[in-house]
Amino acid sequence: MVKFAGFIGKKSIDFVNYITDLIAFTCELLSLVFKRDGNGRTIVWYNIIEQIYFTAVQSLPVIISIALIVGSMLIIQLSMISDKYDLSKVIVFLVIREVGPMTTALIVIMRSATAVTIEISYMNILNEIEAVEMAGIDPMRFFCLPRLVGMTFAVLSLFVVFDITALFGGYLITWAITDLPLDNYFDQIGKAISIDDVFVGIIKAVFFGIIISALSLYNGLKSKKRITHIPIVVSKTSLNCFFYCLLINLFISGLFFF
Amino acid sequence: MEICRFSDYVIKEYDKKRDLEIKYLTVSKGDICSIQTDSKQDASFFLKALATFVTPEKGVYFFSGRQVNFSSYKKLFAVKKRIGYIVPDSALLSNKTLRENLLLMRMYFENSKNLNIDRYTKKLCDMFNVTNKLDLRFSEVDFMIQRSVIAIREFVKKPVLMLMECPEDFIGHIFFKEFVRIFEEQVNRGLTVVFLSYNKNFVNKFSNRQISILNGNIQINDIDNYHGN
Repeated sequence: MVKFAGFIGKKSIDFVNYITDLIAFTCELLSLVFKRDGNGRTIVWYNIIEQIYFTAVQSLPVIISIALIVGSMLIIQLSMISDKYDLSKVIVFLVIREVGPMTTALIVIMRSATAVTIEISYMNILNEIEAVEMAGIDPMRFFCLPRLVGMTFAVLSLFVVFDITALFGGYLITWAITDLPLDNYFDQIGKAISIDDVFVGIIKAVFFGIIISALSLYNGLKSKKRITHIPIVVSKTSLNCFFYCLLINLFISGLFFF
Repeated sequence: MEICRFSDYVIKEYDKKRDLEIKYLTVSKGDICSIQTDSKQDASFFLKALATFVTPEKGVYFFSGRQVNFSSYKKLFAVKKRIGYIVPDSALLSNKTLRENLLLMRMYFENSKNLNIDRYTKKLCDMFNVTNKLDLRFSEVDFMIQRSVIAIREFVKKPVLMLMECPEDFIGHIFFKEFVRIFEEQVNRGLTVVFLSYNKNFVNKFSNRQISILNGNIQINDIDNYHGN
């Protein structure tokens, strides 16, 4: 019993340490966004653009395909209950507030968070971070800041692409493959979208971007200097990212419910 | 001119068994200090301490007349920037070309992506036969070329203090002669060096002071032969 209590206590302390460390790391990262440092501006901007290209541009085919499938699926399924509820309002609620940000986050976690964690873990193992430090360059600014800004911007823009594709592309697919009556669909969608819906979606996307990049960078930097540790770190990162995104999603949804 | 000074400097249980202690040690400009030790691990760790990669339990470390502030990792960059570090742990950035690796520091501090390598860097690249490989990435060249590029990068950094661990193994026998030529050139310009080497000719030729590390205690001794005289 004592052993079990000790185990629970140790795990709890480890978890609290992990969370406080992660929050401190995220705050340090966010402070860099607002710090105006003349050195390395060109190279940091170049790295940000490169990160946006890897995370956003290269994900476009995947996000568009998934948005088309999800959009048409939702329209088809929800049209069955359109006599009970306002179809356009339900679709807008689901796509913009819930499915859009979460699906975008999931794709970024699967594609980019894993890649960033592997990359940073390797850099850690191969002493590349020390090499940058020896050049007098802050690795947080050189490696982490571009990934934070790039990934957050990517999640936000992919969320916009997802929503537009799901709402309009989904309609086109449904119109092409079914006989469902979707008269005045665009008018109804236009009326159903409110500023609140868009705002909630954007807030979620920004928070998801920050948490995904912070977790991937933190776990990558904290990984032990062993190649065999990388798969463990990557699997932990992807699960953590998904879990914390769900948690934030719940929190923001709750916040805007009241 | 004093380059670095340690006093009452202690790193606790660095190898989980014992402490590393420096009662008092100074390295002045132009000193070429060879490390004599019973344990290579101690020497590696001492070089890490000089490069400010370890935080001491107590004591002070002065670099170029200023006390090194270990309270934040950011305050150490100004020191690290002025130290050349040629040790087995030294690395290149794998997602950059060799040229970008050589230009990294300049690109960052001169705020430009479009820089050309200067004449001195070009000369060193020619000596190490890497000029035609500069646009390749780290993973596309063999291990010894990577090591040559690291050595070039550290030399062109124009460091105040150069730290080296077994340069003969680091560079390999093919380019060791070239390495010694460049090293001699920099030493003649007043470079300060702390190094560990098992190549007796290299040690006898360059070393003018000796740092001995025995059971974790570090001391410095003067030796008579200056540059092999």
